[in-house]
Amino acid sequence: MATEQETDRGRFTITQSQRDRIARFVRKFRSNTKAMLGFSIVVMLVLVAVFAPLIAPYPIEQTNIEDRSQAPSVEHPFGTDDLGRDIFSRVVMGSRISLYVGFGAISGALAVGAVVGVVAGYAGGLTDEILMRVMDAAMAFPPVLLALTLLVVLGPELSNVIIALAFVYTPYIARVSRSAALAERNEAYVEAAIARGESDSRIVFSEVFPNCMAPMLVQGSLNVSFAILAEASLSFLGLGAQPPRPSWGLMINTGRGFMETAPWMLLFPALAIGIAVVGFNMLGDGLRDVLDPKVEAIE
Amino acid sequence: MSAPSTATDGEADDGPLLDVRGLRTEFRTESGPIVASNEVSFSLDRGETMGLVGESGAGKSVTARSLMRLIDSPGEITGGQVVFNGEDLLQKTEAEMRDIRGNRIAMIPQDPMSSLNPVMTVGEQITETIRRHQDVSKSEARQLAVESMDDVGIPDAEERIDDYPHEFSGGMRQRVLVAIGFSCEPDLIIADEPTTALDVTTQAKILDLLNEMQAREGTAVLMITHNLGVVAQTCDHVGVMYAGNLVETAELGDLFDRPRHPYTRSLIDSIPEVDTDYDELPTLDGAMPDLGNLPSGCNFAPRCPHATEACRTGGDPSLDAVGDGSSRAACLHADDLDLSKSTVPEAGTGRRDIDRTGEPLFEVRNLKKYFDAGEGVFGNVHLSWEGGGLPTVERRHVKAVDDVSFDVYPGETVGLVGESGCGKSTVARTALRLLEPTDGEVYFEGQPLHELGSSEIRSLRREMQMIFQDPQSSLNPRKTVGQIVGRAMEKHGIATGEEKRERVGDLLERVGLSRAAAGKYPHEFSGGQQQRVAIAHALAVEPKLIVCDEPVSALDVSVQAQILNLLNEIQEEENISFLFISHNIGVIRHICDRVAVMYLGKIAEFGSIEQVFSPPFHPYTESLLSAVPHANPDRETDRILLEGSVPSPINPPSGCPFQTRCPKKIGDVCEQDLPELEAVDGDDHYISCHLSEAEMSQRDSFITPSKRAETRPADSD
Amino acid sequence: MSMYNYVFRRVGFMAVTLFFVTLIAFAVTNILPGDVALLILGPNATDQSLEALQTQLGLNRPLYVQYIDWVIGLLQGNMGESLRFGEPVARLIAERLPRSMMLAVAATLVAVVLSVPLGVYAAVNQNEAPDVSASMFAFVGISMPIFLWGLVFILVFAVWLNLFPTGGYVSPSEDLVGSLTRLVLPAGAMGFALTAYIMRMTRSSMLEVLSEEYINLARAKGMSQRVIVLRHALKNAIIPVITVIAFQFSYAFGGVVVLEEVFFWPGIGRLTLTAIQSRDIPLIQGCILVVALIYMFSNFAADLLYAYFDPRIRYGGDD
Repeated sequence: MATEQETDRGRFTITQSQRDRIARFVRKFRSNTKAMLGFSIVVMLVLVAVFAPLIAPYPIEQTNIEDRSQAPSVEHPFGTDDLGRDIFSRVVMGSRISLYVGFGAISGALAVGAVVGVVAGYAGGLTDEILMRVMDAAMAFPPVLLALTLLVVLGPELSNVIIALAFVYTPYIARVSRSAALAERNEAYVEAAIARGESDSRIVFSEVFPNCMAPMLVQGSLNVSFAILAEASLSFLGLGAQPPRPSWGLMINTGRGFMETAPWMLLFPALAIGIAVVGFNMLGDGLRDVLDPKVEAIE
Repeated sequence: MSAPSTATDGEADDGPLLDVRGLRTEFRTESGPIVASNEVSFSLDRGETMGLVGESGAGKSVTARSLMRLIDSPGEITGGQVVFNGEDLLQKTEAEMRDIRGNRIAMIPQDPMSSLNPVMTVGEQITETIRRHQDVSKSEARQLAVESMDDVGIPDAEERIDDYPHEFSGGMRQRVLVAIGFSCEPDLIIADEPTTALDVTTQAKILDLLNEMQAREGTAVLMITHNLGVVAQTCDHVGVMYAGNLVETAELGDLFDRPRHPYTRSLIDSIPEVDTDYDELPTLDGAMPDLGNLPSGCNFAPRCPHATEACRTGGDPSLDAVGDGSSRAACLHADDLDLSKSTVPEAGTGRRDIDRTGEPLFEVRNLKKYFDAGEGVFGNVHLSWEGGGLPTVERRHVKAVDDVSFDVYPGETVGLVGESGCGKSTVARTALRLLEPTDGEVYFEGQPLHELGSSEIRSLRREMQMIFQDPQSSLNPRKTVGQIVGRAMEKHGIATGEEKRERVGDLLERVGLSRAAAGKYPHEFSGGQQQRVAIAHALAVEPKLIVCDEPVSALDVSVQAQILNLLNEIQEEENISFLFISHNIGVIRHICDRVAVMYLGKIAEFGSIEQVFSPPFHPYTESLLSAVPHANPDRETDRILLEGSVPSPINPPSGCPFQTRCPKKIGDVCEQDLPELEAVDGDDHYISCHLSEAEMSQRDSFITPSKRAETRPADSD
Repeated sequence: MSMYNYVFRRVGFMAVTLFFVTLIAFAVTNILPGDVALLILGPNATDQSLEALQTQLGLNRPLYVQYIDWVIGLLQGNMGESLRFGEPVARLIAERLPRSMMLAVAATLVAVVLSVPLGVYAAVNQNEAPDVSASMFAFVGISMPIFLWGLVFILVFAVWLNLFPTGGYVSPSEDLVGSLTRLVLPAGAMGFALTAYIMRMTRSSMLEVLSEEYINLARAKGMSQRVIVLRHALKNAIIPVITVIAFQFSYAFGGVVVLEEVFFWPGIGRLTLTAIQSRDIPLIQGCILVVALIYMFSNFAADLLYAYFDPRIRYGGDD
């Protein structure tokens, strides 16, 4: 029973209980290997992306015909591609593209999907039905296909990839936040808020929404990995990032032709994708474990 | 009979059927091991029924499951012996145990909803048990299953054996569980809270069934429950558990006449009885300690009115024989204490008089609430094939509330009592316009609630608050207690900033919590404390009416008493009216001034407590009140058991809703005419029934107001 | 009777969703920045040719008229004419449909056969070696881009081991054996990719079921672990898995454009890709519509299967 200590920072007071709560979360997170592993990978990726120009030893566009298609060596740890470019540098710089797309698309999806979902879940009735039918309809189209179609009209540029993917993944976030809102709506504290005389909008944003954030974060994290995979597929098909940008998917596409002669052109970007996706998946899974405790009842 | 025997293996026929010696079960947790079953010892003879009583968290379920070795990681049985029929079950292999489970020892679990596999037919679930343990053919097994369903009173067993669990009502499902339990004619049945999830009337039937089956088969029964009334009706001897320890064992009569452990005394006293009349329920402060946080010394010492220094130090007292040796108690002072007198104060002045001369505070007239019978926008649209030919589309409704009228005066408590599905919760919510009424009128201080716009309603909400059944669910888990209570004040402009914080602290103290509670989150509190927070939240806006929806049903008995006392106190001081909803007759009796008995969306009877609990009775009221199991083994009950189960509110019976089950049904008039709510025996007492007043007054009152809550004589009636 | 009500409701929902699906399929290619005709002819087109194309395609009519026209055409089985191939879109799609169907069915079969037992096994041995390795495998499985699986399979089985051809398609009516050998790798690769998802779902569904009360009672009746898992748990656990299987099936149908590309499998996926690369609007519309329809119908089939497995739906109680 800790005594209460309030530190007043203007309008923000952080009580001991709140500090305890944060500390508990951090402790739980730390003890979950999956979450920690995922988190570390993601952090590492972000650092690589941020400091990419400093890490990459060679400028990515520097071609050097004499050095082309060289196997991995000390000077070129990942080897060189068919135009003599250093693969390591390209992979490192490529992380920027993947993360840019991943975070960008999912932030967009979260922003729209969260609102749509929570409103639908809370409002129920016709609003919910209509909104969900629309979301269902959007999910009927396979993500890559839908994104491809959108890119046809928007034009194959990286920023359009983000828009297209945001559009594509919004329904998934909406679904999750809707079911979270639905579950919360049935809790008595919502009824208590209504009985208190709160307006609907206040209830949705102040009471219900914060309790829905957890599943949304989990889904969001998982969706980042989908987005990265999707970007890779799109680039692989030539409709994502355009050469000479070092998108991992694009690199695999080029590497495909040299699969037997220079497999490293394929291998390293593939590994990079794998690690990134595994990282975000682990983070998402781990977060889900941490935020969703199963209560062990003894009696 | 209840002392552990010293018989050795091989004397199976002479010794007790079950002899538990020093059973110890632990659970590994993050903060170290906790002991859920601490050196528990007791024994049970063939054909006997023993009750294992305690509040939730006391360890009774764990003990029971340990007997069958159904404890999984992170739990483990770490010590003791369980001698069954002369053999120690704890030494057996898992394969041997599997042969015993369901066969020699069977279990009847608590929740009929979730204990039956939804994708297997009821018959399959019975026959598989039979075929597992007995060498019979498929058709023989099926025949046996049909017989066992007959035995437990399931009508049309031959056809229903192929039905799925969800096609049965709760009471019927419990009967199936009983059938499964008895199917292989075990020597011992462990019934884990078998009636807790059921309505009072259904509970009565199941208890009778258990008694009957037991008498017929000669099975021994270990009955786990928190309800002393159930114990009084079914058991031969009793064990009381507290915080993992068995603190008392005694013969049934002895336990109630002269309990030996102070906890037992207070447990018996805190139950509001239907026939006693007293102001305040005797309670103990605090609650049963968490198993991970046990005090040094006797676990009960912190709350015990008789505790001495010796009790608080020195570890758990051992369970020793007391008096003439037939009882055992784990108390250092057991030999010296005389706990035969109840601590319930002498009959009080009764409830205060309510002034009903003015206008009622809250009035409900002809309220109706129908729901769509299904989910989604097309929820109530159904195809029906009546009358052959093409299916027709019809709209189906659940008639949850069907023409209900009552009123509440300032400062009084009106109760709504009934079994699940009768519509009492819906009435409350619809009356507060948390749900939109389908029809009818609601007036608060004369203002027509049903006509107000949404913003007008919102400002009126200050006057009408609500307390919910599940305290945990009623508090936003992401807000601190201070934020929750304070928000209510902010919303209605009662106080802000520093003044608000002051008031929040005051309120928290008022409901029995510390001021420091404001900075904590709901999950840091126990159920009882959370409910106090909910009460503080309701009081924060200074309402005139508080609707209490089963506020104590989810709480342990001793905590329940504390909350009820608190509510009474608040009502005295602030003159707040309560609309109190409950299915617990004893609680209603204790806290209400007037009460309405509901059945299938309608009011069957309405009047003061005196009036409703005394003749004339609506037949449903009569059977409802008679079905309550009294925590008094000497009282013979003249229970009126109802046939069948509650009809579906989608398709209520024609005429009087109760006519399908009424033991006093006159005839056609009951099927054709819906009886009106009419005044009987003067005024203020309303019953809706076609019977004459004389016919409704054929039994005595359930209350003996002159009775004082003292020693119950050993032989009475 | 309740079954009919269930189906009736499902059909109702499907109809509404179907409407939105057609709307989206239409909108995605039409209500976006960029003149459609310009898109097709490129930035160097003359105004004249632009106008001519617009009139030809009926692009200068109001959008809702175009939409209604299109839907009416759909109901008659007419999806317009492909700009690139000059043939009716419907015919092009109908040609490819059976090929994609073959691949999807084969892949789903592979996936189900592998993943369900694996998922059950993992759940039953939760947190022990088999579970950990299976879960890790599944994890890696969902983390790899699908086309990578394809490339890996080609590399291993076709190039190194030289067991199977690297791609292409032969109709079974022409050459059954050749057709099947060409099916193995793409179905295998896709099946493998699907396995990961289905396995995870099976495992978590199984875990949830195993913690239910009725499982406890089954144990209290003395049932063996095998009986509990196979008789009590599986039937309950499989119910949510059905949805996932249906989803994966429809995904295998058109979603794996990339896989068809890698294996040169001339299915709907590749057709769509060609359409996209040539900006063949009518063909694109037709393709994505068909793919969406497949998804919706497999979901509907899953709903029906649901009802078969869950008696609560079949004989709904009012309780």
